[in-house]
Parts: sequence; C-alpha cells; structure tokens
Amino acid sequence: MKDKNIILNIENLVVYYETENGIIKAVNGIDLKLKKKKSIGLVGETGAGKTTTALAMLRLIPDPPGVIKSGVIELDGENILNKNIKELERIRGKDISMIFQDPMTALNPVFTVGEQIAESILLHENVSKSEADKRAREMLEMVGISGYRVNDYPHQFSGGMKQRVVIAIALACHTKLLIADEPTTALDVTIQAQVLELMNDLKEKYETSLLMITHDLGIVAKVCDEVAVMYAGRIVEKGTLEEIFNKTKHPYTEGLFNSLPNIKDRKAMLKPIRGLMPDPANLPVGCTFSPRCLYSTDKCREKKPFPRWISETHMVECTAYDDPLFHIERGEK
Amino acid sequence: MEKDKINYETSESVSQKYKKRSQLAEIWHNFKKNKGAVIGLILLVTIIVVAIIANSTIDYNKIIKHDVTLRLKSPSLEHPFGTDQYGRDIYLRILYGARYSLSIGFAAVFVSLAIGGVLGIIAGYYGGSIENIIMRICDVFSSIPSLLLAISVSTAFGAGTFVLMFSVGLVSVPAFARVARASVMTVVDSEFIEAARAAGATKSRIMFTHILPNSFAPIIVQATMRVGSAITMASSLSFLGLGIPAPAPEWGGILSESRSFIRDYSYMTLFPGLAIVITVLSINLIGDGLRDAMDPKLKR
Amino acid sequence: MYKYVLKRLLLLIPIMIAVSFIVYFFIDLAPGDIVDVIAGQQVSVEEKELMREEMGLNDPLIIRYFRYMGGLLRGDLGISYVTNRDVFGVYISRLPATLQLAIASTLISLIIGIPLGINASVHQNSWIDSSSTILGLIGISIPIFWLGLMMILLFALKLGWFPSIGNDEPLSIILPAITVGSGQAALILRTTRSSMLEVIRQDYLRTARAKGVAEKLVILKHAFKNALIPILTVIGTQFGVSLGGAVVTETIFAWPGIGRLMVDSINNRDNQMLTGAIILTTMLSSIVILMIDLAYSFVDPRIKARYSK
Repeated sequence: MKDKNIILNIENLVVYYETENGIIKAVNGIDLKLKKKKSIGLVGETGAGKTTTALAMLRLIPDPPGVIKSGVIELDGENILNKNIKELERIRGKDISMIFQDPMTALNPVFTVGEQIAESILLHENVSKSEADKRAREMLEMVGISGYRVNDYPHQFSGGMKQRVVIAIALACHTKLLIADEPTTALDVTIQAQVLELMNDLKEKYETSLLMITHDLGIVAKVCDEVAVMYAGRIVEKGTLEEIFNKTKHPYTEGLFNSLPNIKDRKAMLKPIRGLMPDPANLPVGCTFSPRCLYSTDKCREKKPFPRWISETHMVECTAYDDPLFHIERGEK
Repeated sequence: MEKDKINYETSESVSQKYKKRSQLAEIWHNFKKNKGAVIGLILLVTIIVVAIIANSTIDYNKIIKHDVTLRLKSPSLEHPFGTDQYGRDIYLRILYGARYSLSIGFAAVFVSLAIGGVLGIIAGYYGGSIENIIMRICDVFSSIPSLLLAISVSTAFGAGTFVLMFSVGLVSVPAFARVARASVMTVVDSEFIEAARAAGATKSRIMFTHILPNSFAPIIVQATMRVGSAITMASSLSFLGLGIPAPAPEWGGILSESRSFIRDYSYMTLFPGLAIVITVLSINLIGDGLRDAMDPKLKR
Repeated sequence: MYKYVLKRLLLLIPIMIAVSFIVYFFIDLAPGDIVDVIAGQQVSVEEKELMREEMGLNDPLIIRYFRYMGGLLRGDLGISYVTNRDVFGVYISRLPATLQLAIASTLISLIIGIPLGINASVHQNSWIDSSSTILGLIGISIPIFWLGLMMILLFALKLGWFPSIGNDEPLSIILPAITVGSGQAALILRTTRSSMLEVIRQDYLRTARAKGVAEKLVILKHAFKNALIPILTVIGTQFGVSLGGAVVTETIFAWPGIGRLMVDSINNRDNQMLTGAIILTTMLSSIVILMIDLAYSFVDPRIKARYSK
C-alpha cells in the first residue's frame, strides 16, 4: 500500500564501487522514509556514504565503477531505479533536485546565471524563452539577488551568492524533493546562516521536502525535523530531532555530540572519537563501529546488529541494547 | 567495555602499503605502463643503433657513386628499396642518411634548450626590465612563421649541417624561453619556496634544489616533441634545397630528387618518407608518454 | 575592450619594425646580390661595382636598412629586380590563392579534428580513444611534403580523380587542402581531446546533469564551450604555420600562391621580393593571431573582463 504522504522511500539500498583495487562497499543496506514537506538530516563523517546515497537518488553515480547492487528508491511512489535515461532527465531538476558542496565550481563559467536558471525551466516546462528569462529573474530575486544581475557571469559573484544561484537553479521548477549535500561547508559562518535561512524560507514557500546532508549537528538543529545518522554505509540511528538530540541511543551519535567543543566548559578536554573510519573495501566482521566503540563487547564484534525500534519513529542499530539495562552516558537514562 | 583493545590502522601500517619511490623511478614506472611510449622508445633506439652501424660500415663514396647500369631498378633482394636515377642504392642511402636527421634534430633542440632555457630562467628569476626585454625579443622572433625564419637564416649562411642545426634550433628558442620562464615563475611564487626560505635556505640553494627539478618536467616534454618537429623542418629545408646539399643522402633531399620520377618510380618517394614518418612518430610517442608519465593529475 | 584592441594594434608596429630588421639582416647576409643577377656574365667587375654604387648597395647595412624601413612605413617595399614589378603588388596578387588554401584546410581540420577529439575524450581509455590518439600522433608525424606526394601519387596519378597541380579547375583545391588539412586535423584532434579531458572533470557538468540536461548536450554545449580556448589558440598558431608551410605545399602542388612566390625568389636570388614577402606574411600571421585573441573574449567572459580593465 503506497502511502501518498511519503515523498521519499528508500529500502535496502546497496551501492558498491567495483574498482581494480577491490570492492568499495559505500552503502550497505539503508532504509529511509521522508514525509512530504518534512526535512531530514543525513549526518555522518566523511566517507560514511551520504553523498553516494544522494547521488544514487538522482542516478548520478559514475558507472563504472559504481553499481547499485540492490534496493528500491521511490520518489513520490515511483521507483527511480527502474527508469530509463529519458525519464530520469525529466525527473532531475523537476521532481528532485540536488545542490552540491562547492559553489565556486558548481556554475558554468561561460554562461550567465540567468541562462543557467532559465535552462532548467526550459527543460521541464513548456514556456517561451522570454517567459523562462522572466522566471529566471524572479528566481534570482527570490534568493536575494537583484534581478538586474541576471546577465552577469558566475565569476562576478562571491561564494555565498553563487550558492544562492545554485539554490535558485535547483528550485526553479518547484521541485518536490531537494537534496542538499553540505551546501554551506565551503562558506563563511555568517554566510552560512543566511543561506540556511534562505533554504528554510523557500522550503516553506514551495512546500519542498528536504534531505540535508551534513556533518554539522548545528545545521541539523536549525533546519531538520528528523535525523538519520550514517556510519560506514549503514544508518545506525534515526529519529525525530528531539529523540536524536535528547534521547540519544547510539554510541556513535553520542561520540558525534561529544566531539563538539563545550562552550560552557572551556577547560574540558576535547573528546574526539578515537580511531579512523573503517576502510570500505575492508569492513569489520561484526558491528562496523565496534573497533572504535567505548562500549563494545565480544558479541558486538562478532555479529551484525539489527534495527531496534525504541519508539514509532526512533530506531537504533546496536547489539549492546540486547542487555535491557544497557545505556550510554548521554541522553535519557 | 574494553577501552584498551583498540584496533585501528596506525600510520605506520598505512605507509607500508605505499612503498616510496624516488621521483625518477616513479616517472619511469608510469612511462613503462604506456605501451605506445615503450614502442616509441624501442623504435628510436633501434633507429639510432642502425644509424651508428650504418655510418661505420657503409662507405660514403659508394652511396654517392653514379652507376648508369643500375639506374632506376625496382625494389629487389639486392636493392631492397630499389635504385635511383643515378643507380645509387636507396636502402643504403636511407640508412646512412639517418645520421643527418637524428643529429640535426637533437642538436637543434640542444641549441634551443641552451639558448632559450638560459634566457627563460634569467628572465623568470630576475624579472623587471631584463625579463621584459628578453620576452619582447622572443615575441618578435616567434611572430615570424617558423619555416620562414629558418629559411631566412639558412639563406644568410648557406647550406650545411651546422647552419641547419642553428637555424632550426633558433626557431624554437622563444618557445623554450617561455616554458623555462613560466616554470621558474610558478616555482618561485609557490608556497613551498616560502617555506624553504622560512626554514632558512639561501637563494642559490633554493634555485638548485627546488626550482630546477620542478621546472624540468615541462621543459623535457617540450624538448622531446621539438626533436620531431626539428627533424621535419630540417627535411623540409633540404627538400627546398636550403639544407644539406646533394649528393648527401639526407631524407628530405632524397625526396626532393624523387619528385620527377614519382609517376613511374614511386618507390623512390615512398621509402625516404616512411623513414621520416617512423622516426618522428617514435619520438612523438616518447614525448607523449613522458608528458603523461610526469603529469600527476592523470588517471592511470 | 576597444582600448585593448587599439593597444594591441599599436604594439604590432614596433614588433613589425623589429621583424623587418631581422629579416632584412639575414637575407642581406646571403652571398650574391641583385647586380649579379641583373648584370649577367658579360658585364665586367668594374661596371658591376659602378652599378652597386648607383644603387646604394655599398652603403653600410644600417643606412640601407633605414632606407628600406622608410619605404616600408610608406607602404613601399621596393621593386622586385627580377620581375620588375613592385613587391607589394605582386604579393597581394598572389595572396588570394594561398588564403583559399588556408581557409579550406582549416575547415577540413576542424570538421575532422573536433568531433574525433570530443569523441575520444568522452570515451577515454577505450579503443575509440586509443585509435584517435594514434591517428593524431601519426598525423603530426607525417611531413607535409611527403603526404602531398603520396596523395598526388594515389589520387591523381594512379586513380586520376583529382588534378595534381595548378589551380585551374575547381577540384584542384581538394588534394592540397586535404594534405594540409590532415596534419592540422591531427593537431586539432589532440588539442580538443586534451582540452575536453580537463573540462570533463569539472563540477559544473554535474550540476547540469542534476538539472536534467541530456548527456549529449552536457558534452556539446556545457563542456565544449569551456574547452574552446586552447582550440582557438591552435587554430591561430596553425594559420601562421600553414603560411610558412605554404612554401612547401605550393611547391609540390604548383599552387600559385605566396609560398611559390617565395621559393621562386629564393631560387632567383630576388632578395627584395623574399624580404618583402616574409615581412608581409609575418604581418598577416600576427593580425590573425590578434583576431583569435579577440575571439577568446567572446568565448570566455572572464577574459573579456580582463581585457576591459
């Protein structure tokens, strides 16, 4: 029974990169549901598989060497993995859009920003060129840039403004789902705040659902309704914002929170998560986090954890919770 | 909870996986992977060896001697490439003639490198009006189409091997000056020179241990490619009658003589040209291979 | 922008003056002079010396050069003593034939080279790429004079499809244009391929794909326009090279252009003509390169911005 309220449904997605140096297991079976008009943050360190997941949604994974081994990605009820190229080209930019991390290189230097926005409109909607140009100008104004700049070239804009143009392009056709892959990482903190606010406003205005990929929990707190924490290609914990922040369950999530410097206790030592992410071509046998986990037991290292639902919305994958008395230091006791 | 049994990769184990190679060995390793480049290298070495052997075994007088009885014979076992209008064996002439193309090609580039490289390094390092004057002079010389410049110089000094080496070499001087200057400038400005200076290195030490090695790569690639074009240009000049005069068996000169006989004796035109093509091709294969081997950005 | 154009044009003047000096200097060094050519055998040595005095040929180099430059600036490159017509006029009358050939060969090189280069870059490391690369390498290794002779041999003499010499018939241009065009095509292929390879990595192509742009358009519109600059450069420099190479090509195909003119001048010791021809050809080549420079600014707006400062 397809739930008409779900904009994005990912089931058991597995993505490998098959290279001559070995098979890189980037995404190892993730499940994700996102309701319409809601936003979810996909959190994790570099190499967790977040960008691969996002690229899979647009079928933009370079093939070779990337292969989507199995899984289902349903966008508003339709499985993207079954679609052919022409259908995908229709969907990209219209039903689902993506903005990337580095605004400095995301825009084509030899076309005006107006042309690049209008191109998206002309591709997906049956309008005249002058109509598309008009709408491009409007989109520019919508993201806070003067419409007169529609004939300017990317090199004439600063980083923050370039990212706004990127957002304008992504939302030009009132997309249903926007994927933002670390959109503010390359920007100054003050600009970051502006861009996030812009995204929030537009999200409201166009009723767009948002998948925000980030490693920054602060951003998650500002923008997201739900959170999914990713580690080594699996979602190890997911839930509402409140559940993840205040009722943290997974040791890795705890580690992420602990890594943030505490402004109230300036003299406290930084508590990074010791060790490194595992080599995706050589994952550990049991729980992939167990080598670095402060709470890991032999059982953790031997068998893979299964998803455990603590509430209707809160899931955690951690073998330590086999013991009903087990709890981590952070969160509800 | 076993906090002490940590199992994560240490930096030592990671570096053990990637054995360090010296820069030269690294370049050679990448070069070897390129099949075309290796073929080029083998070809060129073969040609050079053949040229050396030919020059010591073939008697020059024998290949310039006219013999009416042997005129215009098609290729056969005794004359693999046939004979020309004077009865001279073309195969032997071509083998002997390799020395001209090879020596002029390499010598011309050597001249360009020496003059251009020095000019470029001086311009790049000292900057200011010195750089300006040198670069303007290079601009003037390089605005003249190469073959025409070579023709001017050759006209001035007449025919002959050394003139040819100089005139063909002169043509490439501006290009080398520019490459050398650009190399020097990028390295001089780069941050690791600042770091070296911050660590206390002296100017000359910087020049030699940092600037020179990093400037090499583009210069060497240019030089290799230019040997090929030098050989072609030298042949063109001989073809026009401005290079090495007859009866010397320079490949371009042989081709020029064969023109009148092309209709009925096409073998006279075919073989000398093939010799040029194969030689220049092998050099270009090597040049391409070197460029790919030294480019850190390329996907391997 | 216009200030830039003007500046470049004005810069050409001192460069051309320097070029004229260099060319004059070298050709002047050549043994033998006009008097030997005109006078012939019967004239005695004393009479030849008299002629030299009259013509001012015994003046020091600098004086003679300044006299020449004076004429040059007035547009007078002297009279070809061999043909007795003015150098400039003769050059101009022969120029169109060479230009025809240059344009035809450039067109051929673009039509062949660019698609092959783009194709190779899109299919990097496949057999398409390998064979294009090899083709490109062979193309730049074949000397024009040999390729021309082989073409004549095959298509004119053996098959009889095209005329081999002269430009009397409309088909005459085919063989020379293909000969010169092939070598240029190889270079264009290589340049297009390497330039496209640089561009293909860029992030903005990913943005285009994420917008739903069809792959063909991503390559041909979004990528190619960014790859144009080096290709334009090659077109410009190749024009100059082909003007120089015209000397060889026109000899082989007996094409009545400026190349043949220069070769005849060499053989006839017509120093005046040769000097004038080389200088004029250099000027032409420099103007074309300037035009290409300006073309850059239409392709890449960042360059246009730089020129306008």
